[in-house]
Amino acid sequence: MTSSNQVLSEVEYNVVGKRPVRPDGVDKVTGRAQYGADVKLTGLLSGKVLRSPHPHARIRSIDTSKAEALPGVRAVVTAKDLPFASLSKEELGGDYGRLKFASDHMLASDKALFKGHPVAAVAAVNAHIAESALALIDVDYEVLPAVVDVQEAMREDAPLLHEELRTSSMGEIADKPSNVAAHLSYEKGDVEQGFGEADVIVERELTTASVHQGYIEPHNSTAMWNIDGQLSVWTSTQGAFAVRAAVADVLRMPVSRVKVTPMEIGGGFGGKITAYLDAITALLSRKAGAPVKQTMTRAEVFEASGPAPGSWMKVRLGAKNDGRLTAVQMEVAMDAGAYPGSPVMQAITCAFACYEVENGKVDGYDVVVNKPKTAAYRAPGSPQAAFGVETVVDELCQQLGMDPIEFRLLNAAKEGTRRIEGPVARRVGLVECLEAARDHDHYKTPVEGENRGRGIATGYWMNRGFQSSCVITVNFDGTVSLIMGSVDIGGTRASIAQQAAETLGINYEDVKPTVVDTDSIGYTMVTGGSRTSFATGIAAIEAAESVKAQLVARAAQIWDAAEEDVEYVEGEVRHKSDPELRLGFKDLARQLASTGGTVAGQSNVDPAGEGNSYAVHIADVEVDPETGKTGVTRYTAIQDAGKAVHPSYVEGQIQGGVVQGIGWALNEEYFFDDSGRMTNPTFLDYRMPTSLDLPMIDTVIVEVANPGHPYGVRGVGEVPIVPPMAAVANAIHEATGLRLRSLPMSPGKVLEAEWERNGG
Amino acid sequence: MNRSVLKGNLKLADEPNPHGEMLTAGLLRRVDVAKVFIPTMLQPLTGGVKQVDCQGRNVRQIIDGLEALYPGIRDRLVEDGEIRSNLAVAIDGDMARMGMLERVSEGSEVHFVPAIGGG
Repeated sequence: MTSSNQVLSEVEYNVVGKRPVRPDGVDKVTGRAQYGADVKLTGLLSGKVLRSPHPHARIRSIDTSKAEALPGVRAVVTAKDLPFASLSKEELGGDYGRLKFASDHMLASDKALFKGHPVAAVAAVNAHIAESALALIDVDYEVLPAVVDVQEAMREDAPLLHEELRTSSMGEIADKPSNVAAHLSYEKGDVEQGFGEADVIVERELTTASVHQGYIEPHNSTAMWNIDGQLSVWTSTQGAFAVRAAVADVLRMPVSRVKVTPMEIGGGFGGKITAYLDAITALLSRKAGAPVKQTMTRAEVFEASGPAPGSWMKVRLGAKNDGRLTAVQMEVAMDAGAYPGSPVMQAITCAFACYEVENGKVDGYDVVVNKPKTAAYRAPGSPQAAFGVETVVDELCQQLGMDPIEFRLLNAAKEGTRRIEGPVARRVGLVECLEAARDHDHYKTPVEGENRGRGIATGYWMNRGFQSSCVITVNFDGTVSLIMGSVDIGGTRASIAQQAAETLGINYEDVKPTVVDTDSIGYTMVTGGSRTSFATGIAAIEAAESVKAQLVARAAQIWDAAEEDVEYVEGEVRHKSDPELRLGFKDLARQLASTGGTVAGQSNVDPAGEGNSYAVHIADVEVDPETGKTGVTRYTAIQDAGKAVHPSYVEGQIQGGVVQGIGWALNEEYFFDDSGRMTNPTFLDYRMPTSLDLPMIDTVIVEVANPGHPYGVRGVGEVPIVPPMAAVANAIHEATGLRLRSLPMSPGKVLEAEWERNGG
Repeated sequence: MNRSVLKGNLKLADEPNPHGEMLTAGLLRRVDVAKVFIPTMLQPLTGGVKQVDCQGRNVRQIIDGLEALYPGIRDRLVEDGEIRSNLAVAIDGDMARMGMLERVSEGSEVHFVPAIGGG
């Protein structure tokens, strides 16, 4: 067995598809890259947040007088300092509930809804004084019963988090308060008729635990509120414009008064879209009249930023004896944390997207619980759904006596497949991924040895487009500056620069990409949803096309020719009929200064045609029957990337997603005590896999070009985390005969299942 | 069951001519007909109808048309003049990026699907 990475290419380009050095690499490996914690400003104060020790409590009063009197303290803020506190329900109208949730999430007003919920904050001349001041703030709590389990929270007698929350069933509002914020349901065909036609039906219930993205860099924020009312924020985020919008929203100020500079980011994976600290830091800065910086501790990250939700699922599948699916059904409830907005809608969209089936039904429930508000985590909602569906598919294959890849090929979604929620799939690469898996050395090599097994699972993520902006300016030395608003969390400086270079027909090294602040580029959505190489790539391509058109015009001017007689081909401008008249990109760039000045191309896009991503994973495991510990012995991930702009980064995304998925499968979970407090908010007790725990993750990049992108690009960052939990669970079953239906499949769970099988 | 409708905020002619065109202010303007898929949870409002042909040049006109056929359905899809925050409109598989103003073409499929972002 050898480790390998393969790229199954359909089309070759000059720059796209190559593996150049990343532009930010030197700064990062030499420690010169500037992260949020590196920000230094004259007179900078230290900020700290006082957090609720209770997962659910009414706040009777907050006395900050002793903290304010402590020497060195410059400002103390509570929810009363937020604009929401002075706005009435009448003034806010229909926006009242939304702004209350947004403001309370920043700083709790009437109730603390999770352990770690901010209730006050302090700015002081140093962190030690700020911490001392926190201890002097007196909060009078009325402790309330808490609920952290999604099924318990759905019960009618569960403690209510929000007295005014009613279940919305696609706009129909229930008349009684509930922790179920929303219910959404979609059906295709006639699901009961489909089950009636089935020869085999498998129905199972499954659960998954809350897990965290586990980014290395904690949340941080520095804010400077100038006396002219202009607010500047430096922060670690996946989207500077998202931070700007969130801060402007809760502080009720125009976005034009807020400038957000995204610093280098030490991991996000979806968890750095929400702005947890920035509005608080801004308030402290305004009150103190000085810049303020704060950084979360690891415990604060676990307890007060957004984990991926815990979930409960019921999955039912029916098939004919020949393996053809006749009906599929899933009910899934996901915990949203303290405020509505779990990714359950993504879960029901993704659940059966790998299958073509005439009859299907999905129901999703968004449920609030006394945990920190959940945040996105790589393909949010899809990994949990895939754990449910793909493990039950495996059981169905076992009952049918079918090979799991042949079953999936028989039922695979393809171009023209209508999904349960309605839309029809365009050109997608699931079949090609399944065929690559079937033909891979890994799958063809038998599993040998006791307590060893192999599992297969598929995964889906829809990917996204959304708004992006780019500016390309030609420098007189023949290089170009590429300005973008997309924060680089996974090598997108390189992947966008490659697309610009390919379009301009110039060397990758001649493109200098820079990520800038919100005042320096047009609106750009967050780096997330596997959208950036696709959408910002299209913005760069369009900006490059604009540059090309301007260079054609400039050359025509220089040659005294008509523009229609001049063309731009492979990095040079040529006269169509006079072969003597041609200028290379660099030669023309040198003439720009004396012929009217530089040229710049600019593009703002909101593209459709993002193209869906599919993945097929093969996992081999060995389970220790004495300890219940599962070791992953071999792993291969196959994925359709459309066109891998930078294959090394695509492989890195795949390997990173798989590693996180294996951690989700085997070890990671939030433990809560009886009162609802998280008991393991450190990396010592929250066990993420390291390189010592894992084999090399082999990758196969399948390239089925996305017709919605000029180079066929599909998003790649999210789908790799979707299949691992189910692939590992299915492998554990083959190794042990045990079907584990609750994540994580920790040693304790394996042993308990073994003991249960043996009669306790 | 398929039905066609022309209502809403167009304030144009009452009915299209047999060619699917409407006469208004002296101008002949084509009105496109889209296939609108009724979400499962709203089918009680449509008496079980799952799909309806609806005339309109954008999402707003399509929803106005639905409302004319099935009173009450607009409030289930729209809040404060925009598509509800947990919903999105997919037109021929692409998410509508202009909300209620998104163009709908002749023969387009219109779906009201969960609104989703990523990480």
